[in-house]
Amino acid sequence: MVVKVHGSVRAACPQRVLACLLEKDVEFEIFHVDLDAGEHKRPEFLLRQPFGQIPAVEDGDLKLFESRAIIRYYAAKYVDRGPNLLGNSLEERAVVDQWLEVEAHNFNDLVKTLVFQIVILPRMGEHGDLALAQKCEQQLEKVFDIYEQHLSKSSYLAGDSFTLADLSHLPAIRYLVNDAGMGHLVSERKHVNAWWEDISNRSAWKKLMELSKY
Amino acid sequence: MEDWVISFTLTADYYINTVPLPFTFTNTSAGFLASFITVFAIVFFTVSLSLKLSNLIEMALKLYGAAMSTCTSRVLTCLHEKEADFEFISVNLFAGEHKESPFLAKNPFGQIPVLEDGDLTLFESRAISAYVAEKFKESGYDLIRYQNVKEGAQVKVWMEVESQQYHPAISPIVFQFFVAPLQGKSPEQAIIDEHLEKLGKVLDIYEDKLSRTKYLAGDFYSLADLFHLSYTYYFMKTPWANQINDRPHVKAWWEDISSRPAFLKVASAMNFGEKQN
Repeated sequence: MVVKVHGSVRAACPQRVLACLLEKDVEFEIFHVDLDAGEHKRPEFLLRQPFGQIPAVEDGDLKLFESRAIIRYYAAKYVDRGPNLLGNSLEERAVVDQWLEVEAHNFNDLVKTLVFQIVILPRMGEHGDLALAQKCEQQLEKVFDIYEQHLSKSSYLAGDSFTLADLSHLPAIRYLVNDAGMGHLVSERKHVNAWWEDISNRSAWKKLMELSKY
Repeated sequence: MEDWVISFTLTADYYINTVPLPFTFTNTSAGFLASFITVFAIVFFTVSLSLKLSNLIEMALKLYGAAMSTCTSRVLTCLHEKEADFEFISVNLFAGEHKESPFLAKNPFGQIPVLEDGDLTLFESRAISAYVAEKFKESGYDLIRYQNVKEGAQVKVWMEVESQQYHPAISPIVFQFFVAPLQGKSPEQAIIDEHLEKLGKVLDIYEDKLSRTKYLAGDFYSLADLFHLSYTYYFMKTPWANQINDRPHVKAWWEDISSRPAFLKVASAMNFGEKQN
């Protein structure tokens, strides 16, 4: 059964899901949602995702939303296919989950706010709040310092293998490095830089970059 | 197997085979069998007793946190629902214990709670709760629908809804009302108003969902509902509890989930902001 992914291939949260499906070699079809036209706020879309956000996934009669719930579901469903994105034991899975939570609560909001002020608002012809962006950047420096310390002891966030915890960071760091001019946050840190080079050169991520036609 | 157990059983074995005990007839096959069974029984009894003792001595789970903290309470509620034994170790937030060594070695982000389970150290309350719910899935209440993949997937969805939609709307309100005053600031009404509006929109969606299913992920209480308890409990003590009470299905859901015994145990210690007499 082909997994239907409703969303935009260049948006961060659909990319999180698509990267996971590509890693697990799961067949999918993208149904583009026109954010500029406000398609995600229309009644038909709200039936799929009541909060009016992308992505929303349809897999047979199973309907899911929230990208981090979707990737947890597929990583477990196809645990025996392709790379193990979850860890080999209950304890390892818990550490993957922990770093997924770090991404969600200690990392993502800072990146989202910074990118919104520096990239999105200007694209819409408006002025971003540079003071707010700077504050986010300073806080991100501290978060990346913790990642640097951690990655000096472990090749990937949850241990010695690539897992959902690393995957979940890919879309946001791409925005930081490629769109927001914040590459220094990564390149100034030896272990973070090596980790980013490694995870962003995985064939699944490179395939997604081709699909996204940047 | 621990060394002392091995030495004890070898010693016991030696004495049984050298001391002429009444039931040991080593010259006959029946006697040999009786002797073997006796040794086996003693070894079995000793090993199982030592395992039970070591379980009692090293209480497997240790939770570091503060009883009145929202995120600690999330994990405590989950532990109670699973009827798991644990040791609670209080972290002195007011002294900044969580921002210094040795606590930072447990959680480099300097936040509570932290769970220690043998060699495993975990932080992030939602990850800890999910681990506890999975590890003890066969005891207490089933919070994750572990025998039904589709129901389990919906639990995951609404756990993320709490994390990504509900929490960002409600936590700044709770922070402004309860925590800002402790830092010598007055609550910023602009922040509160902005987030009350966001929370209202989220709760409208909840009202619709809960008119169709009894709980968030379906007609069953789950970890997704549990995740909402601690922040909502404090929110209900603010002047804006009407956000919950004005929506009949949300109100009924709140009254149901907040009256579960596992939560009542935890709520009794959630006295942040109360005046001390």
